Amino acid sequence: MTVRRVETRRAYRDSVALMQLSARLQALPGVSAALVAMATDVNVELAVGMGFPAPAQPRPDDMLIAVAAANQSTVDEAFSFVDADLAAPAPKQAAGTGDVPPRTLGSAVRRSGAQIALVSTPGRYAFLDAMDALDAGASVMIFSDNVPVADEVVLKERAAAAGLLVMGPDCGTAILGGVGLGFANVVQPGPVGIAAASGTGAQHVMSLLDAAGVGISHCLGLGGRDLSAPVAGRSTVAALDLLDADPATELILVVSKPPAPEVAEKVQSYAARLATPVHFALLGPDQPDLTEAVAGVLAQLGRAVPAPWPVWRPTAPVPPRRGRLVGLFCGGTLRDEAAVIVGTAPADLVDLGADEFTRGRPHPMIDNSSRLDRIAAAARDPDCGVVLLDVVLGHAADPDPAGSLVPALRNLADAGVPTVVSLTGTAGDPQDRDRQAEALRAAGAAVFLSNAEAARYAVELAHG
Amino acid sequence: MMAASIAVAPVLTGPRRPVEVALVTPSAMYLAAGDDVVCLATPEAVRVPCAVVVRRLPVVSVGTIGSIGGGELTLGTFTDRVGRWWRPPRPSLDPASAGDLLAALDRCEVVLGIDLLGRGPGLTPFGDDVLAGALVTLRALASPRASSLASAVVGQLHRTTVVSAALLRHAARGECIPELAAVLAPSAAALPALLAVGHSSGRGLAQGVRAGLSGGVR
Amino acid sequence: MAEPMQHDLLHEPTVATAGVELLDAALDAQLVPRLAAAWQPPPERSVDALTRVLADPRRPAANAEAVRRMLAAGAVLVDVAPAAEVLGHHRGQFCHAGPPIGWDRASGPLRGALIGATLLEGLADDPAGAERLLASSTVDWVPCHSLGGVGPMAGVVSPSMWVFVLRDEAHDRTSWCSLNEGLGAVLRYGAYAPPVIERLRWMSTVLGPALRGALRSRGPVDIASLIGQMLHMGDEGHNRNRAGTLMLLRDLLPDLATSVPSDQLADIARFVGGNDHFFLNLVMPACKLATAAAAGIPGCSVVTAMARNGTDFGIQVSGCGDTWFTGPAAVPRGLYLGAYGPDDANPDIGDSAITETAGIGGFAMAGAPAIVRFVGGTVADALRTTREMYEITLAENPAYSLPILDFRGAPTGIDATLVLRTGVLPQINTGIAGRVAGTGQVGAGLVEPPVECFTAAVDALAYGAQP
Repeated sequence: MTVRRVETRRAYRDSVALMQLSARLQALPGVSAALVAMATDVNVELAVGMGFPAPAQPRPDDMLIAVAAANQSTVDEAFSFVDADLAAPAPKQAAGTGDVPPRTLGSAVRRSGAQIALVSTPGRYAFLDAMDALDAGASVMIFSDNVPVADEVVLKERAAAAGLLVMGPDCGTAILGGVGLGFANVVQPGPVGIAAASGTGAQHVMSLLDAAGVGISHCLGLGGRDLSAPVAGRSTVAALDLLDADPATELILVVSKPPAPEVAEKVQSYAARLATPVHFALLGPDQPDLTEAVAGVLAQLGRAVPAPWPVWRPTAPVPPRRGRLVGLFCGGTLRDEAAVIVGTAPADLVDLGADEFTRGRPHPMIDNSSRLDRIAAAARDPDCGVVLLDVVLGHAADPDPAGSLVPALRNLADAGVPTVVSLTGTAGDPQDRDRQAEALRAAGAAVFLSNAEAARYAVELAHG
Repeated sequence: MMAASIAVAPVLTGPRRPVEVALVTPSAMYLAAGDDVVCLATPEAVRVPCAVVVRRLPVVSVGTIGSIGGGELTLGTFTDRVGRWWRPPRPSLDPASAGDLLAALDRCEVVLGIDLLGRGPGLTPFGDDVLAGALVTLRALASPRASSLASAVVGQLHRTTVVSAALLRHAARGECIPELAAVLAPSAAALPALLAVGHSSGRGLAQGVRAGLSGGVR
Repeated sequence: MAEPMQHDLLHEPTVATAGVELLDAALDAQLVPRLAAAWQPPPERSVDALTRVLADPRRPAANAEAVRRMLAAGAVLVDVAPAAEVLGHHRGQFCHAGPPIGWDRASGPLRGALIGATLLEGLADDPAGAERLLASSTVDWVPCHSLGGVGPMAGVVSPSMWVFVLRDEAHDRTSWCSLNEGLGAVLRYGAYAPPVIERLRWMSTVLGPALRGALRSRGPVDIASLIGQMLHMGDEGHNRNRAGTLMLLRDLLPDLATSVPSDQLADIARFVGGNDHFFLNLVMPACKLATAAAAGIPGCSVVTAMARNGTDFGIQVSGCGDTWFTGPAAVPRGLYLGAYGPDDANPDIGDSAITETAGIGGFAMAGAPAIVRFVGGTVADALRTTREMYEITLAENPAYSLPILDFRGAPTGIDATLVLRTGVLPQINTGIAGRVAGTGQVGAGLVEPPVECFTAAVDALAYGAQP
């Protein structure tokens, strides 16, 4: 017999905090299911799918709380737990004007004199916060996705008129003067400036450059759609100007999926007129992969290309077996690069960071739990020839990804399935890259710093 | 985590070595590993070119031995890694644009003249601050006199404190604190903030700038 | 025309954030100075409208211009004259506080005040006759605001009543307001018994002309300057006007003394000096001048009027001209006098919310902490209220500064979009009128406009629709 209770509250917490609260509720003894989330259509559907009755007239600015347990008192205890958490004082805000925190991003910009505002509010509202920040005189990084493209264009036009930069929407990574915003690695200052329409693509490139002893001046995010026809490279052009004018930047690398052809031409001819040399890594079939692009940059700088790129091989590798290549990625660009290399060979390559997989579940870069289920399934699958994973380190990412992956990888090894890991991270990252690599290697995985090499090796293992 | 100056990256990321607490002030702690000096600083402290910024200083006394290297620093129970790197400012200055700044420095002379040259209380001897200011200014002007003064000073560093010697080495390379970089933009409006640095260090640096500029303008 | 790029972006920036705490923690780990906004989602039904309004390219310049004009507006008392002369009103025409309203929906105090004014003008012989006349709609009344003026509480003005006349020379505009009758059973609370009418007659035959004579003799009085001073003396201009009243009396007394017969002088001095709210009727039109200066700028989301008629609360927004956006007026929350209680209270009434619209009144509560004895709450609440108002306004008025906040200017220029986005409603510090006509003041407290007013206004700005 299951008791269910569903309620809404006028309250707000960000999605990551709510997922952590949901997880803590689920861990309470006797609780069989729990969900705490803002009552958007998607989350209401999720609750209904979990067996809860739909709340009457849910509003996305209300908080939905749903608990199922074996008896009423457990359910009520869970609700008290939530109410106590909501009543707890909000995380410390910067002091300075008594006890009233800034209530809008514009107010926070003006109060702090910030040059950059980081927006990670839900996509439906992100435009309002980003525009507020631009009006207050700050450039903006929009981590949020699901912002309509028409709104993106309005933001980038306003930014251009005001001499400001919009990084995003859907921009997960930026580094300004060494300060990492979003998912960012700890890099040494150096001559390469990056302008990237892909967060994990940028992280991968920075990780390879770091291994070659070359540092980064800045990494400017562009937003995934910047080089599409409607957005027409507005942020790319602005980023090129900023990096060209920066005395510390000696070479610029632009990282993106293939842009719309007319946008590619506009941006490339713009780049040709700059004083700083610009390299383009526009990924796709018949294009150099990220590792090759980095090699080109190193050559231009007169720096040696590591031969080989760092790799950690298991001492007693699992013997290869033919079968399907199962790719479980947290970085969309890393998945796409692997897909180009895998080509038509039998494979399932999934980007587990995509919307469809992150509803009600944390992003795999923060927490591996969504991948663990799939790894366990691969271990039981006789047709699976190899498992290919990416692990991305840096600020804001899982503090110990190897920790949660090692048992699953041992399980795979015991089942006779080889594992290949593409590890993106720098020597300075908080997770300690070499220690992570070593742990993964000890669990039986072949670990490559180069995603392209990892993909090629996985193909070799699975298809001979 | 810590936010470290790239100027001390070699000692922070190199092989692990012992490091000793040489000097403790309320907002900064100087650590020496041989000739290499690192300044553990709180976010409010003056950001010297060898600073490593931490949220709170460890509670240890002068003479405590810890270890530094491999991206980490350990002192007693305190242990931390570098979370980001920053570049200390290295200003450059067009001599033709420095007229207003020089005039403003001349007007400050009454205040500066009261201080005695030579050794005095404080983290760095006053004379060393004047030299540091002059060195950074000459480097900023890309003056041919910069290198000769730099080698002369570096050759005599054994005559001063460990901490002052380290800061003079940075100055010889043109690396300075943000307040001095702001003045050398050039901006006379940034002078009050420089003059307020430390007990007398800021005023010493300003004296040095004036000396460097007068020579440069001539 | 594009500005040059923001180059200081690349030097170890300070970061402002809104959204996921995880990203704030990553910045803290790097010892990056950062400030997070205490963010909450805007009301769902307004998200699309807010998006359109914030996307409007006219808006930043329009709002900046509105604020510039508001802060530049002056307010000088230049004359005291009959309403007939100032408004061009004839017998049978009245104005009242708040947005337009008909007799059937009017509350007790407003009905009572209209009855009293009808009797004053000799349009009826007794209250019953006055009521019949008013219900028959052969007389007409309009909001004071529509004629460029304001009235406190019921705010009823009829042709023979004298009004203050104020000028904003910077924008060449005039505003006006009735003279304050005092406390207790008075017309503006809906009282119409013979003593009320007699007092009004005295004000028209003795007080008004005396003030006019003194003013002509002395020259104009700078009301904006007095407001700036009263804010340094514990007044906030809406619910507390004692210092302002005394400063006005000080300014006018010498010329009153020389231009008025000595037997009248004592009465006048006693009348003005004994009414702690006499100056309210000068603060209000001064604020009206400031907000009117900002009105009518296309694309502008600044609130230019907040007013109540005892039934509805209405606001006006610069970009929508003089369109009213209304919702139900609430009963203020606060402290009651004597044996009165919430059941005795009328919903919010009066044009006096024009003071908050111009950045003072409840917005300047930090400067008048003693007021918490009347409206409830603690001194910390008073400080916090003003601080919250900075989050929904666009500017700080250097002419109206608050010593307790290190002379920070009063929070001025309410942005309707900020009200919706933050969920913070303007805080109005007000008297509470008795529900039954003629009761008088039953208490004092705090009240907010209904959020519907702002929702409707932002919709109109977004879609250009009329309500």
